[in-house]
Amino acid sequence: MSLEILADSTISGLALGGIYALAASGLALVYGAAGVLNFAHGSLIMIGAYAAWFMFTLTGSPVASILLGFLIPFTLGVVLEKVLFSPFRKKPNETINIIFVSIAAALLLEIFSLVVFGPRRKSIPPLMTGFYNLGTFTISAQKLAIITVSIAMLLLLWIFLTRTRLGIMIRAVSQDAESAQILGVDLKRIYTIVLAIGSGMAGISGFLLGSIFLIYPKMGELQLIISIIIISMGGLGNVQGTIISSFILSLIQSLTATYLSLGWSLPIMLAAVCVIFIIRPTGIFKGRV
Amino acid sequence: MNTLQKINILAIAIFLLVNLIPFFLSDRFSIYIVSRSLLWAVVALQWALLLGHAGIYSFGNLFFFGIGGYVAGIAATQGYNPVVCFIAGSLLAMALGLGIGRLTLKLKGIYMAIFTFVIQEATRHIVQLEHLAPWTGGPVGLQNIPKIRIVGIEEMYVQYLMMLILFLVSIVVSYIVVSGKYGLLFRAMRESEDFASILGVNIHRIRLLVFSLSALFTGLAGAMFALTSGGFTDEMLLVTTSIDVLFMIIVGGMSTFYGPIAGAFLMTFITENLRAYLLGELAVVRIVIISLIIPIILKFFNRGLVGQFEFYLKERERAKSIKLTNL
Repeated sequence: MSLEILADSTISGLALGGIYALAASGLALVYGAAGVLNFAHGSLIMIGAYAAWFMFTLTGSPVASILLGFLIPFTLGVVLEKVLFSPFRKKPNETINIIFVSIAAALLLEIFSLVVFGPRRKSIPPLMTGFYNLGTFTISAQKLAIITVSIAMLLLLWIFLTRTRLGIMIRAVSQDAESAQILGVDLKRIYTIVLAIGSGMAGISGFLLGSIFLIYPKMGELQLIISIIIISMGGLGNVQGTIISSFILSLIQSLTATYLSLGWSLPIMLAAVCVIFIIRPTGIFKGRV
Repeated sequence: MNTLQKINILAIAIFLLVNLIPFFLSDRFSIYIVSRSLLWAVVALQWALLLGHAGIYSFGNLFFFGIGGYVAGIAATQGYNPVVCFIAGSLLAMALGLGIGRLTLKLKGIYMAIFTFVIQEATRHIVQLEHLAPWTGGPVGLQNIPKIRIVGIEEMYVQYLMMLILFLVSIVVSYIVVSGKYGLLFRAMRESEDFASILGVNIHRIRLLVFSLSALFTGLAGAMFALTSGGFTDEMLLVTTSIDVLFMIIVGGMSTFYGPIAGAFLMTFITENLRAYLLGELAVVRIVIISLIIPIILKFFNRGLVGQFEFYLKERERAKSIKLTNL
């Protein structure tokens, strides 16, 4: 009995970890390569979830909704970079100004979805229904589908970053922007692409979140905080570290929720971040992107 | 008379004018606005000491406000004397400020921003926990804190007077610190920590000083808020409340002394009036306005209103002195 509960909460943790990893690796990519701590990331997750929900109610096809859930945050990422972030680059107080501006963007997106979609909570129907029986264990197909989709997306990201010309350019920029520029990398273009891809990842994680939890205008706040916790643990801007720490964190979260109490999981995670920052200000994992 | 003196005299004149309001317009609403403005002016000023003067990217200064408010509120509901509550709230906030300052001596830039943001968020979740509900009231917050009463004075005037005392004490102490030697050291640290420490500035001591000062008065403001309004909820620790205060700081100009104060008075006046006359839909309108104005101010008036004014005065003075030397 207790073994089944353990297995079940582990599977839930892994599914949640996949979702977190998608969102947080987007944020880590943006911070690592574009040097922006994007406080609008949570709102992009929420926008992705709403876009996917909209497409799903329109067509009923999960593939179409995942596409729209990716594309709308993707274009929003381009707009964010071009309109809001680029004017503050290479100016005094760059870090803090961009944080302020991204908070403003987050508020605007929240208000937009509140006005357009209303305060009522929406949900995307599960991707797959039913259970698989493995002897005494039962695994819900929905969680397996989420794990599969998120791992597939993370693999795509990994292939993009290591095997394509553009991905290698992004990694070069994240290691040393000036040297990359000397070697002929167009920084502005890379920043725009990175923001677009990071936001698109946020959108997909929003779609997956929407299929297990409810969608509402303020859902992004919690996701933003969780993503920030994860990228701080993974060493800001380090994508591999981020993915590993998001699975660690989600397992801790689902196990605390099962065995302790739901209320404690977030404070414990936040306290863990503070301790990590004090002991190792650069996160647990070394290296970037 | 130099620019600094001119600005000081102007600020005092405006301050006196604003504080005439409670004596002439004796309606509840205007007194409420003035006392709230005084409160937020203190919070914004203390935050700007960290952000604008010392260049420490604190993103969770309301943590100290929350600690002050919750500690004083809990102490007051246990039946302690208000003076004890104030001392407990502000000193605990200061101790935590020293602690945070001590732990984060080496954190810079974005790490500092995340650390402080996370601390405030964690506190917000902790006070909401069911286990702590007997003390903090859980998600409902502290209700029915015994309010401060002074015999013979109406409640709204008591609130105003307490805020005025808080404001005057905090502003005088901060002015002495900022305009003196330490203010110079703060600004040296903001411009470049490494360079300042090469020149012999004890960066660690300065950081601890600015943190404890900011925490002390923010905590006192929280305690004052809890004991004069009679309630304290986790709303004060929300990110949106932080954004309201940050917006005051940005509008006024975060590197100037009077900027955050002016911003607090201006924004409190505008938002409280909006809240009174635009019912229901207000939250949306206000947030849309704020979020549209933030990028514009940061891009085109990044000194803020007061900063821009000071800059104008200084430029004029400089132009005059150049003309004089050319004669």
